[in-house]
Amino acid sequence: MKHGKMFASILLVLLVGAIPLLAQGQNELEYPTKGIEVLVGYSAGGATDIAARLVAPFMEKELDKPVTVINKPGAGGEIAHSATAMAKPDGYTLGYIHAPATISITLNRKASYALQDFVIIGNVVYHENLIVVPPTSRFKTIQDVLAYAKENPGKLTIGNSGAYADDHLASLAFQNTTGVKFEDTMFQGTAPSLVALLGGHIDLVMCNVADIVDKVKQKQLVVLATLGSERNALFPDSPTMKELGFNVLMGNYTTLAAPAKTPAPIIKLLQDTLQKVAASEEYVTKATEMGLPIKYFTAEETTEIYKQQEQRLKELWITLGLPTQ
Amino acid sequence: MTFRKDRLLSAVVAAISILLFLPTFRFPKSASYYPQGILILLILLCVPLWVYAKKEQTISIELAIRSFMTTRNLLYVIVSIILLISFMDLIGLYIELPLFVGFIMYRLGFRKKLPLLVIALGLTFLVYLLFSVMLKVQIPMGLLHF
Amino acid sequence: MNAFLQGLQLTTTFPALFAIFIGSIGGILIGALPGLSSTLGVALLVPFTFGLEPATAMGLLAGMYCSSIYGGSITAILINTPGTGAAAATVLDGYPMTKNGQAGKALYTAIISSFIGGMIGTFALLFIAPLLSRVALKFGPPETFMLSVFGLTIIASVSSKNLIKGIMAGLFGLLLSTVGFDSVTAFPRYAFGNIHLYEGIALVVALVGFFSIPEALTLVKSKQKKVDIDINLNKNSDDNRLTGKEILHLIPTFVRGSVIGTLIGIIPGVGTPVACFLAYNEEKRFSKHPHLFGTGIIEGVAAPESANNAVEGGSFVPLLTLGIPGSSQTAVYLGALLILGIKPGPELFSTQAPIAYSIILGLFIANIMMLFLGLGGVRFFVKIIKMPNAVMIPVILTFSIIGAYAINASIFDVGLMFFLGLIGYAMRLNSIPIAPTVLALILGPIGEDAFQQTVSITHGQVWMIFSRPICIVLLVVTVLSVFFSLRKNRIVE
Repeated sequence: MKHGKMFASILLVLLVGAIPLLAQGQNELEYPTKGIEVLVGYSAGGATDIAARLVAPFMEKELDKPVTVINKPGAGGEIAHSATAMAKPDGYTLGYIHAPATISITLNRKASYALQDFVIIGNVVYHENLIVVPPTSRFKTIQDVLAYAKENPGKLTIGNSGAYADDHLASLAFQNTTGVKFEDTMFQGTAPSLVALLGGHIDLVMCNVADIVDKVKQKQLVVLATLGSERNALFPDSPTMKELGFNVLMGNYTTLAAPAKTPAPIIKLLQDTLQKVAASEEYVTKATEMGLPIKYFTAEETTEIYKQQEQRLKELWITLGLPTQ
Repeated sequence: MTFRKDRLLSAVVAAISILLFLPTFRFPKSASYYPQGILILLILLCVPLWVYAKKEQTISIELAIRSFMTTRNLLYVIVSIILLISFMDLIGLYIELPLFVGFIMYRLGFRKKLPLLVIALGLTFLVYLLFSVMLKVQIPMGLLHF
Repeated sequence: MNAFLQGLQLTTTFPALFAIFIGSIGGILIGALPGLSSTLGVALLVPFTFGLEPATAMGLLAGMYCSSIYGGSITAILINTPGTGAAAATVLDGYPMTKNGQAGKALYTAIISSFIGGMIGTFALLFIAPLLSRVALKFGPPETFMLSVFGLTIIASVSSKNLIKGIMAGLFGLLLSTVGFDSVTAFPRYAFGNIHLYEGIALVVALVGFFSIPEALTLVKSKQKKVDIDINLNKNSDDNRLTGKEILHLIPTFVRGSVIGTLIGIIPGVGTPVACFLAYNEEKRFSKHPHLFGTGIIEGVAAPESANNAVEGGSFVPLLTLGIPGSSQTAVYLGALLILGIKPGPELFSTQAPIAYSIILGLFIANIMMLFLGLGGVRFFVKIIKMPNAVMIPVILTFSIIGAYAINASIFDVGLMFFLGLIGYAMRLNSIPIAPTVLALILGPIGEDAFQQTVSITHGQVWMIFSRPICIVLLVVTVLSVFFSLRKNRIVE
């Protein structure tokens, strides 16, 4: 009998103790309880910053807590990437990563982070690379360019926005797939490369949709070809390299991510929030007004995209013998 | 030891230039020519600098160090700045600033206690208004991280 | 004409004029404070333009742009510390003028030069923008490279008396400019593994480090209670104003400086500080008393100050006609314009003409506003020197530290600024001029990048650039410049 009483009381204690444990499983996720910081690797006013500042207020509305964009420029984005990767994985620090930039940094040098240090929340912006020329150029179609380049390897100069930046990589991938050889001329950003193009100092420029939408509308530039998977609605007359038989797809992804060890329920909430934001009409309207090439991909899709990009870039690096320092 | 000032300068510049030459060997070829060219020119210029060093302008190392050490104010300012920068992340600028300003003002001879406090705090407040409130620049908050 | 009048209407509304006023006051403040650049000022105002009418938004930014370029000269003249890169050349004669007790005269020279420069630049924008934009396009990498080479020869004329030390200072500046990613291989040179150095040394960090810190440390060491300058506060003294005769005398200077500023402004990627040094150099070259430069003469202030405000008007030429910014400030403008739905480019004047004119008129009015604020403020600014050193030194240090931090939100930059400051102080103690280092730091990247692009374009046969007319002209000018300055140095030394 004494043992029985003791046994019963122990059981009672255990049961009572277990209630809070059981209850926690049914608790609402206690997040967010304070403001969230989103790190951007470029200065205020740049493309990523503008996108981040577009998304932030919408997320703020959904999460009911402040979402602040913090600029941490430097080292081509590496400082911000590193800060995001090493931040406390509690869901209060997020950051924007990019393909190919975030990946190419790890291939080009010994980076202070690795792609696996991030867990993806969702893709926000995507625009493909494309090749432009002035309307007065002797090249009227991309085939003209390819034909000339085949006869004169290394003669045609193509400008880009920086060594191993997305435009340069796109050009390298283009040359690798089509078998032609260009002379890549490096500039500090797309704007100077366009100046050189308009002044007739270089033959071609590889850049992104957002860089030249207005200029194409104002007939300053002509898009010879895009490196997307389908024709861009803004340039209906410009073929994709894919439809011409060259499977080179290059573009710029701006993706919201979090430190890899952030707890799964928090990530799920953020992913769902971003999905909601991306689907909201107000968001889409505002982005279109600002000329931002938004393109939402889910976390799964985006993670897959990054895996593929990493694979292709690694191959490109090896094939072309690019420096790894 | 006494040296002609320009000769000491020439030696120091030449030595540093040679030191800075070493990292350039690890640069990719095309990126190394430019810094190497600059360093070579620098070293070459040390020669006329040495030769034309004026006899009258001399510097004695002992005197220089002694003079530096006894210029307390200069030391205080430099050390204060180093401390301020080192602890900016930890303590936060808005706590460091009034201490920094007040300390330097005091050491430089400003002894009127009340105006010192007013200026130190006032300047910090002004900075806060201008940068954190109006311009929304991110300033290290350190301990004030709410 | 109709569009012009419409533009005028848009700009002369009360909100727009008020915006210009606010922008101008902010501009003078930000320009004067060492560590805050005019680009930062314009960038910081952009968020405030959301929701404003385009003409009002443009007015706000114009006021800031104009006045901040002028504002830098105030501290450059009074405390030997340029508030912005645009005033880097103004210290050369501005501060000596203050030391001679002519601070008021220097400040008046600065504001009047800035006003005239700004007006000429904006007139050029208004009347000959299409012509100028064609000139801008002709400037490709080879031309930019030759221009930087020419720019570097200016080092000789800002080296005051010691040519060897000046050249060494210049080389030091070039070396500093190599820190960071190289343009062809993206290898981080001289970074020593520190990712904060990957993108190189920011100009503002170097500016603040090389000017503010040595000045502050020198003041500390001097143990003086106040700056030992006899400020004559007598309103009618000649030292405190610019006489009509002097203004007339300066007209050729104003014209020279403004033309140089406008031309440099239209070339994208070169920037304001280069124009100032170039104008200073050319002024010295055409002067009847070149050896007086550096001792405190009004031409030495008038030339760079008219040039730097003229750059403003010039930099709008490629922005409005081609949609390509001609300076770092206009790059920020471009972002603001796009957000407002204004599409700069060849069709701007046909599809959105009233807005285009309102932007230009905004600049005119901002210039006038700056003139009034500047003229009115001189008497007030001069009093700054009367501040006891014990207060001024911590103030200079505070704003230097914050300014260095604010650019990249990086504490490393602050440390770097101080490190450069200590080097700058050591340079001062050794009579090594600082201006060549700053000039080289600015021109270095421009020149090296342009050179690499030239190599790429000419497929390795760089000498081909001398079949291009502008390059030939620049080569001749450079050679002549070196020749004459060597001759002068041998005679004057």
